[in-house]
Amino acid sequence: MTPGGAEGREVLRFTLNERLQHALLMVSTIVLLITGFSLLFHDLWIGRWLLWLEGGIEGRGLIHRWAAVVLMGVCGYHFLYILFTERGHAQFMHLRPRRQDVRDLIQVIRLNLGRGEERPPFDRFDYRQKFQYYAFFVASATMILSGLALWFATETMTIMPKWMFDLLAVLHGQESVVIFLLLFVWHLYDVHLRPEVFPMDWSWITGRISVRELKERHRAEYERLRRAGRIDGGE
Amino acid sequence: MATLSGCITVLLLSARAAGVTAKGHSTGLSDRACLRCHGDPALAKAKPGERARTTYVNRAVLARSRHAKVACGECHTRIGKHPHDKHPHEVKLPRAECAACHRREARAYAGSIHGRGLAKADTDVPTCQRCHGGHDIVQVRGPASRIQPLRQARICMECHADTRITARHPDMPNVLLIRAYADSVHGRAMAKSGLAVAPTCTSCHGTHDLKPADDPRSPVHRKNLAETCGRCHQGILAEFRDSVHGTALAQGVPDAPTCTGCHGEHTIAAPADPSSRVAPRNIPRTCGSCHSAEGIVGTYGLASKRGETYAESVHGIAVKFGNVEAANCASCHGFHDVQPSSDPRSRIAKANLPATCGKCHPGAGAKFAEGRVHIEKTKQSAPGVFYVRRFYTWFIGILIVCFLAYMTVEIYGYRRRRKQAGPGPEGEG
Repeated sequence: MTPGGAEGREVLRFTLNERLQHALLMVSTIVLLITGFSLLFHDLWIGRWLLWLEGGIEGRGLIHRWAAVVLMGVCGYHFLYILFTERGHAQFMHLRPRRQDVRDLIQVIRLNLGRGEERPPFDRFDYRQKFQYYAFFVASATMILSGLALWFATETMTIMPKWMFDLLAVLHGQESVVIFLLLFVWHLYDVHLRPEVFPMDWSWITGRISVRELKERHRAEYERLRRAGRIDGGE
Repeated sequence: MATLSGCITVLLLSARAAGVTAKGHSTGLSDRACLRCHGDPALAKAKPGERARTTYVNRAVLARSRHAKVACGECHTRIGKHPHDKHPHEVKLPRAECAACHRREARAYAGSIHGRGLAKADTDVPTCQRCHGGHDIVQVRGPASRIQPLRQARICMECHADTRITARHPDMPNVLLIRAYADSVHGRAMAKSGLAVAPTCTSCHGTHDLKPADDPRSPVHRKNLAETCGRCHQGILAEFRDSVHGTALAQGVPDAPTCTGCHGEHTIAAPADPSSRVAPRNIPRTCGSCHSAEGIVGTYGLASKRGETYAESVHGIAVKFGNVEAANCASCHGFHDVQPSSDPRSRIAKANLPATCGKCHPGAGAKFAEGRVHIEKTKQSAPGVFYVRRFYTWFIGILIVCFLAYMTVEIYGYRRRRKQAGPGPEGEG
């Protein structure tokens, strides 16, 4: 992690590599959701309209599969990134769920309801961000596996009975709604509408966070960086 | 008025005409005598206020006709029964008599819908001449014939597509229905490709003995239709007779489909034509018109919700949005040879499923055939799908509640802190 000396009061939170991973994930997931929903809601005007935009049922499938290739590429790269790069591995270690996360959640709720004392001193990733990461991990793994089975239907049919095939198709459709909720209801609230960050948390584009915000939202990390002499002064 | 040229023609023709008369009916008049007056082109002009029915006979046309050697009196049988002082015959001559020679056709005609109309003195019904022509009559199959296959539909439509005539006869078929033939695969084969073997009106409906379609003797009556189509489509007739639809039809099941049930009548189009009722995209609707009709499904104990369960399948969606390769009803069930799944010959019999699915999905084996295809996904029939759906219903519901609850609490806390802190820049707990 580079110290935010040059910019004075900002530190780098996400490297360009990480921001690109996020951007590709975002674009591919949005495309997948749109092309997927046009099939899921083919009976409604919105589905018919989207299908028309996407060049009919074949065009839709083509776009959906290419976006899936991008998604799988990003996921595959991400695994290599956390396994084989020092930076990536460190990030992953910060994301490990701890019992403290549950306590933090309870403390924040108490705080919001007026029974609270201090805001918990979050480390690099707080419980919301960890939830987001693992929820998306599970959801995209489900989507990729069921999606591949449906994509390579002819091959899957040799090993799979029809009922399991049907089940995967339903699973793929339902899980997409979960992903939609996770991203468009939860994640977008979290990074746009949350009073603390409104109108947007810019770090996904700039990769930087101000020292003031770091101290507010990730106190433990701030303290750690200060002790390590990586932040000069702070406030 | 006898012109000079007229006289010459009469002279040229008279020898042969007189000869025929000699061996034909005794009319007392030679053809030469008839043509002396009726060969005058001035007769072709109708007098003002009179119906333009001419008594003019074009010698050249007559000479080229099939009846060139038939004497006038053989058709116009009433000639000669009247004294010839002023006019050689009564002024209003009855219709030319064809029955004397064409006895079989006349009998058939008398029993036809047209013949019965004529018996009721209906002036709109076609008589022999209306279709065959008069003095210009030529061999039916000859290239110049009015009712030669390529031209015949036009003759029928002169009346059947004439709304003035159909207005007088409410039981006549709808004009649009009749006109649709022109755009049908049969009509186009005839008009565009010039295929004289393509069916025209009479090929299916009959000729002199033409009957309405609801008459059991009509070749297009439900009972006879398959045989009528099968006169050309022989191989298909054999397949159809053996199918579940064909056997039901033979048993007299009133809702069993015959050819037109799926293919349409005058609108019939080739399966590759997107307008066809049996085009890939339209097949689900065509089959569904019976197999999704509660009355029919209920009456015959057919499997229910065929159309709906297909429509929500990946095949159904693909076909609905214009993919012609995805499976439609006929891809798996067959069409002319359709059989119930309980029949071992059926393409969807358990043993045949791997081969049937394998047409498109070469990997589909016996393992794949274990599951049931387009069933209503209930707890009993598809427990896996049922429980996955149920899980997600709850999961998604709980997720929404949790998210909204968390957001509400967070925004509530933020506002509360802001109020406590007063008009400050940031509400810190």
